[in-house]
Amino acid sequence: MAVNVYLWASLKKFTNDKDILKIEATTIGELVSVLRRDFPGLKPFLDSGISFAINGELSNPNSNETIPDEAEIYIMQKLKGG
Amino acid sequence: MAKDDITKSFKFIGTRPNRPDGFEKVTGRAKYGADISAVGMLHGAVLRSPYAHARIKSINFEKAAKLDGVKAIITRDDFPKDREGEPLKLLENTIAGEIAYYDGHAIAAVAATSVFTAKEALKEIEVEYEVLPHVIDVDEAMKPDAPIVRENAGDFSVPEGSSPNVASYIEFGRGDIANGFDKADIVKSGLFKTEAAHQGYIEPHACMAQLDHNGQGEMWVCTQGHWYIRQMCSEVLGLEASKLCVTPSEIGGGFGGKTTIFIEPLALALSKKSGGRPVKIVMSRSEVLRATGPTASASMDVKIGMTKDGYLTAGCVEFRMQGGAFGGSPVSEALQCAFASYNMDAVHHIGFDVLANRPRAAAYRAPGSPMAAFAVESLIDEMCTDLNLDPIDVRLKNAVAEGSKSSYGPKFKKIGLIETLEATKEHPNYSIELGVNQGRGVAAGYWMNHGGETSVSVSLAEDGSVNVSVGTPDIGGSRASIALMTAETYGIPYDSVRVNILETGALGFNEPTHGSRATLASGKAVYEAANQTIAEMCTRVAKKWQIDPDAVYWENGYAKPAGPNAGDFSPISIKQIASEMDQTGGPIAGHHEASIRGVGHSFGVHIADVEVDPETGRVTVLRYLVAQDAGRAVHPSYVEGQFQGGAVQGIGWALNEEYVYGEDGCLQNAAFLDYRIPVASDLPNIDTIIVEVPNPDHPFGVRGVGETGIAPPLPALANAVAAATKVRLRSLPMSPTKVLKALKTGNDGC
Amino acid sequence: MNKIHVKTNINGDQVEFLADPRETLLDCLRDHVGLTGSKEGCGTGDCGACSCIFDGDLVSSCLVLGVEAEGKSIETIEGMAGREELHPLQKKFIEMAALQCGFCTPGILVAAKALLEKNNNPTETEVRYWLAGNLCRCTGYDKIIKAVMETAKDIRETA
Repeated sequence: MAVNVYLWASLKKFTNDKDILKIEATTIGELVSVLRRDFPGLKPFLDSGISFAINGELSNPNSNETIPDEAEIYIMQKLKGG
Repeated sequence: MAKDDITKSFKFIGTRPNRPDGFEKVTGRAKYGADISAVGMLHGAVLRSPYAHARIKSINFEKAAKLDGVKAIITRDDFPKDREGEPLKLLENTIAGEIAYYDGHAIAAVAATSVFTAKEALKEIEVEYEVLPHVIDVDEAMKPDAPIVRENAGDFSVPEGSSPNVASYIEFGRGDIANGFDKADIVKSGLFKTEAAHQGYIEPHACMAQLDHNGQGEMWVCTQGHWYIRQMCSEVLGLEASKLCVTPSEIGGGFGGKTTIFIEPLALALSKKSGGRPVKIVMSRSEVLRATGPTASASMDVKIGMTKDGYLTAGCVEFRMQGGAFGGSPVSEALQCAFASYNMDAVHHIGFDVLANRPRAAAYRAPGSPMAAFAVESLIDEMCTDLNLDPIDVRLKNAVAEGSKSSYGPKFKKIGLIETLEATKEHPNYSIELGVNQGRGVAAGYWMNHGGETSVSVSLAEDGSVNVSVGTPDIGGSRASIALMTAETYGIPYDSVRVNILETGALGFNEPTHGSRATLASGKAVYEAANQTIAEMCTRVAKKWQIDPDAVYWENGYAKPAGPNAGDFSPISIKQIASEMDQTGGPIAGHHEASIRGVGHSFGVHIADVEVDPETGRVTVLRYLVAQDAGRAVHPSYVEGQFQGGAVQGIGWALNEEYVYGEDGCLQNAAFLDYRIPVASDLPNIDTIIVEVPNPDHPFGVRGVGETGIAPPLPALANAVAAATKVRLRSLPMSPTKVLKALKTGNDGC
Repeated sequence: MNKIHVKTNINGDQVEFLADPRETLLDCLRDHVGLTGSKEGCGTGDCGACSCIFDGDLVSSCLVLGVEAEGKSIETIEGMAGREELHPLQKKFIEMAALQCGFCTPGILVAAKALLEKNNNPTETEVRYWLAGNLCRCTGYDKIIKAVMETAKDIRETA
């Protein structure tokens, strides 16, 4: 199942100039694997600590998490707070 | 929904009982970081760089070591040499290697039998420095001829040709910006600047650590997050994490500044070197200001388009923030907050995380959001003035709501900005008449809030009271809110719940009390754990009644038969179940571990009324109102407390607080006399409105509330000063000298 | 440096300790007498977290030398509550949530008690200026001031 993954524009140089990627994946773990495989330039970003927003809900990554159908997925820098 | 409609349905949530730890705190019995001592304890002191940037050519501590009472001296040589990535940055900031990167950077440390001996020993340590050029200001640091703070600092994100002091770069946005500005009736731009501020917690960092040669250690420390302390110290020192047991003391304020390490690895290393004696280190106030983690300073360009009836058509921002010598300024969070309150089709954001010879920035209450709010909310206010539009009406026209696409991408779930704006507009403060030299400013603010890793347990005591074990230190009353949620879940009196904050060995990983998460995340986890025990109690009672467990339900502290068909049984109390538990199967307890989701964003709107003295430039705050969406106020007094505390920190940042550096790159105001935080006589009462738009993803509707309150004051006060004086300041703080200059010359401070 | 034998009265008890002449009264209370309720927030007399009563005067104990305590009478936060009951200010602070982290609270309570003993009908402005030497970073002072005013009212009504 294909989902839309939104990345920040500053990462376009690693994704063939696209900031919206259509990725086939059923779990978060699969999604990240596909990104690493297809866009190796994203490795440092993915390693730096990321947060996901899945249909608007912010969360820490959980590789076992199933991606809902038609999910809107944003990948951002890890959020914390003070 | 009106507050009363919601809270009527709860028995405990929304009430204002005494906090369970009040007695210890008002009698001086509560133990904070420096309130501990141990047999054989040594005192640690830290030698710090007097230069903003210097190569350390040699360190000779022979003379110091000979002083009677000196038991250990450490330098970077006493730490692992193979650290990489974030652990290396932490290590570098903890103690300098070849280079001192900022005034106050730790160079060496001594443990001795008395504080005086330790300090005398510092004077005997001979350090040869080669002073290097330094850079302090964020825009200066980006100039082509700026001194390079660290070689190869730029990461994968930095575009080619960027200044060598740019550590990382962010860009995101959507829509057709050019078209957006074309559609606008007015387009306005501005440069806005904020200076670094310190979280200003009254308790300096303090810890007592003990580490033996087997790598087994203990630490008592004031911290917002003891698992982070354990993880960071283990990473920096190359220890096995579970061999280090960290116990949190009570904490005298943190606001983000105590979510990381400073003196803790030094205390452990000194302890090990002294043969395993406990070592206590307490920072002085000047050390806290010079060498912990203030927030970033920022230089921000904003451009906004608005139609003449107040609709925002496009917005562009470029934020440049310095977070010290190791990067990590909150520029991406700042960008996310910049337009977050508004529906805008076309937005573009650029951010630079820039290095400077300053201490490594740590989080400070909604990191990045206050700076962004200052820039964007000030410019919007300028445009409202230009177009003669009501500032709250303009915000209402553009306000995001459920389903809106946020400026940083994801769609919003249920949020309460509109309700908060409406509540603010209706409040009497909005229509009080103002006098000469007085002005009113309005501003909105936003923080995402955070869930994060949480691990709790709940158990029944023999007398039917409930013990709750959490890992989130209590900074501002979360024991009370967690106890209220527990009482509500069981239907038992608030006083029969005891909340304890346990050390690292007792629970799974817990993220710190940061991100406004303690009440939300620990609360949600406790709800789950409590329900496990309720299910177990119902099962035991079902067995006693010899009926199906599904035929027993829990209400108001009792197990009850589900209906007349279940049988004619008298309800059994939690007290009775607990008194028999050793005979019915043993202890009854529950636990819950999760990366908590379902965070609710919190929007706030503030109104500030000021009077500006045209002779002195002094800004007096006459009246201040905080309205903010709490989702559900579990303990309204402590929610109000967060609103008020955040607002006053913002007021301080807007009017007084800044890091002042000399030509030599050294901090000039490293004491509370000149790093002037608000005092009681500076302020009026801080009025509050708790708006409740419950968070649908939390069992009690809770949204984090702690952080949002610090963002709106920066622009609210700038807007109020502009209204009072007809002169716009775009640089903070609006200290009397700056205000006077603006009054005389129209200079905006930038 | 030789230590000096100090004999003093703290919270009604006769106390003795050996003080390094460089130590402050705050150091001695915390390290030699075990009274850690008074806190060090700044060491320079700016924050008031170390507030104590020294022979009837409200002082920042970080600005008093330990040896100056000889023959004097000192009151700290630990002496504020009665055996059976908290002081009205302490009770009110808890009821009105006038503390969050609690670090500044001992100093503020000692200072507020000194005010109400001198003047049990202060205006809000008088309370704010009296407490201007006690920094709080958590509460924004609002509930603290209200708690002091309410306690003053209660004291006047029961007098």
